[in-house]
Amino acid sequence: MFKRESTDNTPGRRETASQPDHAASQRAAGAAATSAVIGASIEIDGNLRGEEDLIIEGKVNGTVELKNNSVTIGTQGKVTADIHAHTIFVEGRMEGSLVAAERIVIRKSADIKGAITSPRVSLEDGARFNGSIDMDPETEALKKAFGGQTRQTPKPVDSSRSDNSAGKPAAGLSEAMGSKS
Amino acid sequence: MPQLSTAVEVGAPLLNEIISRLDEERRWVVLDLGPARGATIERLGQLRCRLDIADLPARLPELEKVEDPEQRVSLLGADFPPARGEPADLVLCWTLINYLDQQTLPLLAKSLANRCRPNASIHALVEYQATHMPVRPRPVTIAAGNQISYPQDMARQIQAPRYSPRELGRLMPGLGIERTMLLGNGMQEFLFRV
Repeated sequence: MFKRESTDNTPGRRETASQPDHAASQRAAGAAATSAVIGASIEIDGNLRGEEDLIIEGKVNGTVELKNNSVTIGTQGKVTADIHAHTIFVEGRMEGSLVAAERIVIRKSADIKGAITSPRVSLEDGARFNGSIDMDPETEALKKAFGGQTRQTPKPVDSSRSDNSAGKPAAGLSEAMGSKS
Repeated sequence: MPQLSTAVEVGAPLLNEIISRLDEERRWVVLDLGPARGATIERLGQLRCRLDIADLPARLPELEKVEDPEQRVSLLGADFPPARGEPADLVLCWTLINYLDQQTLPLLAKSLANRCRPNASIHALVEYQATHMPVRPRPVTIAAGNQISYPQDMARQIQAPRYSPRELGRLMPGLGIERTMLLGNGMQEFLFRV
């Protein structure tokens, strides 16, 4: 059902070289790992679990759980699923929820409707997205999915920010701004 | 012959001020009514933040064909991501208000008031100087140096409504105008309060 292939970064190394997007998928999947590939003609309904990187170029409906690995939805991929992975790259169509312990990368060819949860999210302009992006490293969805596995690197602090509202309970921003004309 | 499109960058003091007040001690919910933009995600990703992206400009062609007010409300709210028990603290309208008529603006105000936390802030950019504007909203993004950035697309232009603060106060009941500021690019920043 799956192809297994090297995902080094050398263009043309992948066996499915006839697929026009393979170089992008290889970049996304990262170097020197062995990835499973769901080819463009494959359709899967159900739950996927495993311990290796995965590239999806076909259709997947259900759940994908690769908590220690990366998942790439390639440009031909059409996924309606909840995905939990260490890192997720999206180049194709996705509907559902994406939860990544490390980061989620959305390429400009992506078309996503759903909820994204990860402490780091990057998006190339031109990508279509409708939904929520939860970048709070302390959010419940991350804790529930990964427990203590998520990376808790402090986020950069804006040095121009004033420190007059730390520790306050939830309040309106207008109150925090403290001025009204 | 294709039109050249160059990026315009301009300071937006009210937007910069309100984002700089989002402290790291608590979680914030920001509702972005524009299309997803990488720089905006990157900036808000520095905070404990949930960013809801509605991309209402993509709905405008459909909205313009609907006359029934209830259908318009339904369409406006259809692309709001589920609130999941967390009302919005800040709404980024960008230039959307310029593209909504006097019948639709009250509906938008109602939808936003329902979606927001009491005292939430709503930021918008309104054309005040130019008589014409692009046929569709420009994708505005937060840029470096406390600026906003957008492509200057002159390909097709339509008449700008040039809403005044008084008009918007009347057309958006339930939202108070907290502050406004004229920008160097011919736009006016508005900060509404729910």
